[in-house]
Amino acid sequence: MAKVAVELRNVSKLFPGPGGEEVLAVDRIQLNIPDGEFFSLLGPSGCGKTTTLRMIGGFEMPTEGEIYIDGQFQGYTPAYRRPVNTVFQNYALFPHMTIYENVAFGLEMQKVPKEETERRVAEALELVQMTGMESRKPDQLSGGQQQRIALARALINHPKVLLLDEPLGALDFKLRKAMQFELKELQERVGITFVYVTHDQEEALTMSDRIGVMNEGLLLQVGSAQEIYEAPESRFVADFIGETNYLEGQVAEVRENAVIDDYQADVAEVVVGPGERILAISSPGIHPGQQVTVAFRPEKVRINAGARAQEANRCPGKVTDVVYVGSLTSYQVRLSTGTDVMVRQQNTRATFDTAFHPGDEVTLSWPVVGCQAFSEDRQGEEAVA
Amino acid sequence: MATVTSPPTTAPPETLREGVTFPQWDKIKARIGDYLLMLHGLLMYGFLYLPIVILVVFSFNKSKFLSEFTGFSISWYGELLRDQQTIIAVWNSLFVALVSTIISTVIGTLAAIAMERYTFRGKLAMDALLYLPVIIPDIAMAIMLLVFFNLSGIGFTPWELRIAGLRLAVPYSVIIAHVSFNISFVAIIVRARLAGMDRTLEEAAQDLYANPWRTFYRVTLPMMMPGIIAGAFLAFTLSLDDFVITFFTSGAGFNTLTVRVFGLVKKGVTPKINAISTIMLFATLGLVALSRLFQKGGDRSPVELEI
Amino acid sequence: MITALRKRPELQGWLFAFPAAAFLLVFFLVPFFIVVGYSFAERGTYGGVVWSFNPGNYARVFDPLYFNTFLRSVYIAGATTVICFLLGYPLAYFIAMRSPERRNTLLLALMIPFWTNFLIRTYAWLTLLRTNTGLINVTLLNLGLISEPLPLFGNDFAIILGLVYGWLPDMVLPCFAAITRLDRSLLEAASDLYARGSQVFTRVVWPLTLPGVVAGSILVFIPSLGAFITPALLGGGRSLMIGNVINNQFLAAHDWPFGAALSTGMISIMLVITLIYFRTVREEAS
Repeated sequence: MAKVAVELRNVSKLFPGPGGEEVLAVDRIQLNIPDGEFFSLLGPSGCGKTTTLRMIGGFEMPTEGEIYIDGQFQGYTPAYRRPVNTVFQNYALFPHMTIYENVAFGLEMQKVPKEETERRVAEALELVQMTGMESRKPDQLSGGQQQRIALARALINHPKVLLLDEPLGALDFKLRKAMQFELKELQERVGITFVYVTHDQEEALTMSDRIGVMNEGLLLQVGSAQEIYEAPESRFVADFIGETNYLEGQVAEVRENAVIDDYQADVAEVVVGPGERILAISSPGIHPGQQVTVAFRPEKVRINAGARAQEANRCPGKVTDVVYVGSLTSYQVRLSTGTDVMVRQQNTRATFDTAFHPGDEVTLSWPVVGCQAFSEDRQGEEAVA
Repeated sequence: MATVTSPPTTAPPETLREGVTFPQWDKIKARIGDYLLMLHGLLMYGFLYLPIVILVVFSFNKSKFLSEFTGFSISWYGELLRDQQTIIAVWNSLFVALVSTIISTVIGTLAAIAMERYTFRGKLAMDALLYLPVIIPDIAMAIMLLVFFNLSGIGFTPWELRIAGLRLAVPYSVIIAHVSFNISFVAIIVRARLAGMDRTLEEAAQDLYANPWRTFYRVTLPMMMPGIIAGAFLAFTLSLDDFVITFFTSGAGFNTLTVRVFGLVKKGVTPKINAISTIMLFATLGLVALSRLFQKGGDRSPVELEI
Repeated sequence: MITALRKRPELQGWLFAFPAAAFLLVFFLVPFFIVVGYSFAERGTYGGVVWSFNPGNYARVFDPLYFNTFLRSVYIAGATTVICFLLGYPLAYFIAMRSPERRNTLLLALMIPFWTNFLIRTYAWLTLLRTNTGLINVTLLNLGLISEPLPLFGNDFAIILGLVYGWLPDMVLPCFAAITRLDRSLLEAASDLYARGSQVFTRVVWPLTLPGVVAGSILVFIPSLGAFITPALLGGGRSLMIGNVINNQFLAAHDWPFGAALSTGMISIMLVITLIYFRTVREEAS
């Protein structure tokens, strides 16, 4: 049976603000992270993801709620008593110690005998491909190397959970991409639960088994990369990950348990303009008569000349802007409803002239699955993982 | 969309000095300015080093007058070596400096930790108390202590101690006085070092199972060490350097080197004083060089080491 | 007890601060207040002290004889500060404009004379400035450049020179810190907006480095005001500053109460100046 590595029950954190008022950094988070999962907390700066991470690590104490690590209630246990290790954003390697002493530090604190320490340090360094660096000092290492040492220093203690606070932020693009791959591979090999904090959605999508999207202290949605991307449950999540098109409208009807393309869900029929109706996957709580937003991704939209259409949802429009971006072409289309919609089309053939030009009358169509409807006040509901 | 006139990429050619175009004249002015600045710099450094150079040179003067260099001689240094009183004064200076440095460094470091890492009631008052000795001029502090030692009956006569057959005179009044002003300087320097420290390092240590005391001992303290050493060095220098406060708090017959030099100057100006000065100069330089070698880990510019 | 300490970080703070607080309380604050107490006392017949509440000492401070000395001290300290600024600011600028390696060497070179004993340095100027036997005058006379020795000693000039020499680094360093903290792109922006060199200085550099100048001025003015060694050695017994007067009261005239009053008065002025400085700095920061 899969154990739960980290559990947060109704955890909140209140900070005293500068002007005397209080800041609710984390707002009633419920979260279960199973053993061995690579879990990412994703959100913009100030959303509370780092605070949440620090509470798991024991550097902050929750104002409300309980935190359990490996089934054990943590209470006010300080960081140095928790079976958890952290990779800090700035690596926090001890500058006055050698790499060996840095990596061995946790073992030293646990009074591990010398021979075992030596063996484990060698193993840890090999794990991160930094063998031979034992006698160097941190300031002699590059950013990427320091990062690996920070990783080794944490992993050598075989923690129940590894916390990573935006560890790749300081690296350049190429190195970051390489490290994402390595980290993911490492995690799979070692099997330790990773809790990874980042504001980079691409990073989260690439590496994680599951993602928790946070904003303003709230955990808005938890799910796999596909679930988050293809079925965002709130406007914020749809906005934060990738690019999205939006149409506003009123719900005419909700068909429960409809079957569309092997997919079963509640489907809402939304009136987005005079004579224009869109079918979208409905979220719980949506009822006829309600004002909703319909969201769909640019790459799902097909663009055809004239009145031809290929998918279930269709709407006529006029092309207002065309941008060629090499591997794809981006069209901005003004629909008959008055809204601007973006279409992304892969250039599957060599394109010396775009298929459409500004002014062309076209019909856009997109499938129902992947087209989400949600009401505006979806922000206030927490996700139960 | 409003039309935007783009500004010219170089300054507009307004009417300027006749015959000279704008960019050329400005370049010339800039050049002159640069050279003047450099000249000023050179003159300043000359001004700073002139007395010192003269001092050293004349310590080797043959005649006992300092108005003309008559010839090279090291006789004055020889005379120094035979001058018992001066040698005792040197020993006294070193002893007082060493003892007061150790005490003030410990106390000052503790104070710095308190001020930088904790909040407590009365912290503001403590801050003011720590800054006061820095502001108060020597003479005021000197008479304060004079009056205090006098009134309280603590007195100025050094304690006589016998250790391993050696007779040691401990000038406690002078030592207390030196510690008094040195605590603040040490605290300021160590505080600056603490403030600039990366706090995540302490969190990292805790993350790796180090409890608060071990975190302090293995991470915080070693990282503070350059600051503590810098503070200790400053305290040592200030102690050796001090005249006014030492003068007022010394018991009868007790001399540190500075007090002795002052006495000699009052008696008459001779190259012997130059000789003492030269030795002191190079001793201080040697100490500084040593302390810089110790500092090789951190790349702190001299600005940060000074108050 | 350890757990008690862990639960109340405030206690830990007090523990660390205690040695310094205790020491300074006993050996600094108490003496300070004793002196204030003395300043209200009376001089006994044989130089002792008669305790009473006598503000007469402070009245005597305003006696023309002493007040003039006080005013002269302010004048000398002020002149020293101004000269330190005029000499020190360009020097700081010069150093700041060098490459970083050069800068460190130059700063080191600046500090080396400062690390020698203050007494020694003042003594060096004594040997240079003396009227009949000082090196400068003797050399100039021998070279035939002058016929009479220049009055370089035993006057305000000598004292100011000695003070400037001693406290110049205290002006240069804060100015240097302020100048190096300048964002170079600000200067470029000013040039981009058609400012000439002098305007760039007056409108951008000067206002932004002013805090450093102010800090340096305080660091020079206050010790200069309380100077003792310099006027003692270079003043030739004629030019006196407050420091010397206070010294006399304690060691020669044995009028401790009066000396205490003078000292307290001097300290009060310095404290006021320092307070004003901290207030303005805090106001600017907020």
